[in-house]
Amino acid sequence: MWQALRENPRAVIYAVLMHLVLLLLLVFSLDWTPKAIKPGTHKPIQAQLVDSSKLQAIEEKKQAEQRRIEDDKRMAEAEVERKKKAEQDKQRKAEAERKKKVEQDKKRKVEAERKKKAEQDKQRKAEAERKKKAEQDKKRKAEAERKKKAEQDKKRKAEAERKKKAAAEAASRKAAEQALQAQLAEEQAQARAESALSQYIPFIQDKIQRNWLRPAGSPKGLSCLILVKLIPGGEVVDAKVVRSSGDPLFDRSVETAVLKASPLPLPEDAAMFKYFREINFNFKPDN
Amino acid sequence: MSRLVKLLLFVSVLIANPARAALTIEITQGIEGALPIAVVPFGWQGKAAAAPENIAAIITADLNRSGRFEALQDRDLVAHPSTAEQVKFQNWRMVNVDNLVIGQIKETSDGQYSVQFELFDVFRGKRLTGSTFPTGARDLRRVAHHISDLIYETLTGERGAFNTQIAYVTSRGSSKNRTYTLLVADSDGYSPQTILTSKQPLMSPSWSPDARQVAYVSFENKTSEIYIQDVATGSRRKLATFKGINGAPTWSPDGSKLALTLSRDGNPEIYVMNISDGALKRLTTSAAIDTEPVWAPDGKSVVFTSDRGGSAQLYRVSARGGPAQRLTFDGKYNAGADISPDGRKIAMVHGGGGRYRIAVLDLDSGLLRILTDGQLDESPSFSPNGSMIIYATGAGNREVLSAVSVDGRFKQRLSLQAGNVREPVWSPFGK
Repeated sequence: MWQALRENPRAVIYAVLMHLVLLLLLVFSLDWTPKAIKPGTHKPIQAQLVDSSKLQAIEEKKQAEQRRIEDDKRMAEAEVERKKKAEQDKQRKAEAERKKKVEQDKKRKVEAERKKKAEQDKQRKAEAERKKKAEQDKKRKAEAERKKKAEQDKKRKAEAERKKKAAAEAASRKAAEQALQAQLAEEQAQARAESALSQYIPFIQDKIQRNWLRPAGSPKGLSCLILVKLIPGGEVVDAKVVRSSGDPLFDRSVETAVLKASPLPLPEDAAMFKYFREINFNFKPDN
Repeated sequence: MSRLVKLLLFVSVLIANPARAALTIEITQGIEGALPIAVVPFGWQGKAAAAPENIAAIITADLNRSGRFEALQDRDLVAHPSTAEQVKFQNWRMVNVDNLVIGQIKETSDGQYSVQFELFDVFRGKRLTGSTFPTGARDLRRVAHHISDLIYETLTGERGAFNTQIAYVTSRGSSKNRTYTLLVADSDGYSPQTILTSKQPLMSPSWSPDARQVAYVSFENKTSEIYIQDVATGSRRKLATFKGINGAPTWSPDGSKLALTLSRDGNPEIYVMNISDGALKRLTTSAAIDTEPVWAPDGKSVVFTSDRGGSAQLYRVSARGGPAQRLTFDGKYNAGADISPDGRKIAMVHGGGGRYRIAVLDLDSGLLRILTDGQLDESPSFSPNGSMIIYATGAGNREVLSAVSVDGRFKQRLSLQAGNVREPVWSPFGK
């Protein structure tokens, strides 16, 4: 409504004036309808005759009085009117003032509102900006951190790798050395073993051959492989035909030969025993 | 693969497995000998103080005679178990015998016995075989021979021939009053039974393939005649009485024919006669002496002695006749053949240097091997399993029965009664 009023001040003024006119008409014409006189209720007029001059004089006086009254009245009325007008002006003014004030207030308020809003917007924006910035900062920082960490990791890893490689190289070098040493030791052991073997194999062979009774009727060309397990001291604890000759008697003679030859002659050096723990005997008569 | 890795692998293999990597020993020689065995005297449960027969001694002699075994002498027996629970293998390992035989004889009723035996593998500590036989007193020796056969077969893989018989001829007395006897005995020479006695020579006994009949030459009618006789019943039948020589009958493997020497056409030749109808088929035609025919085991050929080449040698001719093929070339005298049951060897009398010895010709290799060492060894005859040869040999001024293993390693004189023993023949397994 304020909006409408503010936009059409002239119309408002006309409306107010019209209201005032109507009000005045109401005041002065309140009882403009003819009043019926009720007989009997009023005393009848008493006619009196008065000299005309006098009358005149009276009349004039009366009129003068009347005029004065009327003037007074007019003056009073004017006064009232003035006062009223002043009042109205005042009022209007006040009203205008108020309106203006209201308007101003409103304006101020709107302005304040706007300002506030702007402020808020600004703040919000600033906040968002700040947040965004913070976010970005954080991100950037995190990224930097990550990069740094990655870098460090990479470095650490590279370092570890290097160390590992170095260790592995050292280990393999060591292993190679050990292997070489082991090989040397083994070669020495082998050499010892070989000499023990070359020394003892004929004894073992001889003892087995002395105990092998070749079955008389066996066909020629038979051969039998037997795996013999020994315990220290040379005692045969197991003899198992690994590859049969196909002739049960031949196989049995081989088994018996090995069992009869027990204990087999072994080197006294206990360390040599491992070479004699299991012996394959290939029984293969040469004729 | 780098060298290092290879080296590591090599080393680790060696370390992990030194023995396997190292030792394989070749055994190319063994002893060509007899299997050591212990036969413990059998336990005895009966009324008498001792068993009627020494079963263990019979088995021991059988096994020894085969040449394939060497039985521990009684005094070397380290223990006398007669049941399996009593056997401690360690004892027998100490004396190095491969196998152990124990047993017992129980008298189940008057004259009835139960003979039980068990055979063990000493080094494996395992029972190999065993059995129980009920028998009467008369057959105790036979049971012993049967046990010998079971042991022999278990340990050599060949059928034993101890529970078989031999036939032979003896002659006794002075040249003016001589008695000829045809006998059948156990393979060890024991339990001889006379199946024929004659004042005139008896010659050339030959077993039928079922070991129930014997064919022989008898001069009881002053001339040579061929008879076949049932061993168990003694019933006999005259088969050949041709003019001249009727000699050297041998039974064909299927039992339906005899190969023989006849001189009815003027000269000794080899013939085949159908036993059922006497029909003859002449196999040889030569101006020389052809005699001593023997059948190959497949019945398709006959080996005989002939001097058609200037000296006595062995020849082979098809049983359907045809040209003969000379088999022996080694020495001046090879005669009196016997063919091994597998048909791969021929035993003969091999003469040379004034001596006559038993030799065996290996038909696969063509090699002749002299088995005996006598001055006058004659009439070789294979055992039915082919592992031994029985023959007659001069000892002092008489002849005795001897046996030799086919490889020549073991010779033994068989138990003998008085008189000269001639022409021993080993029976087939029989039926």
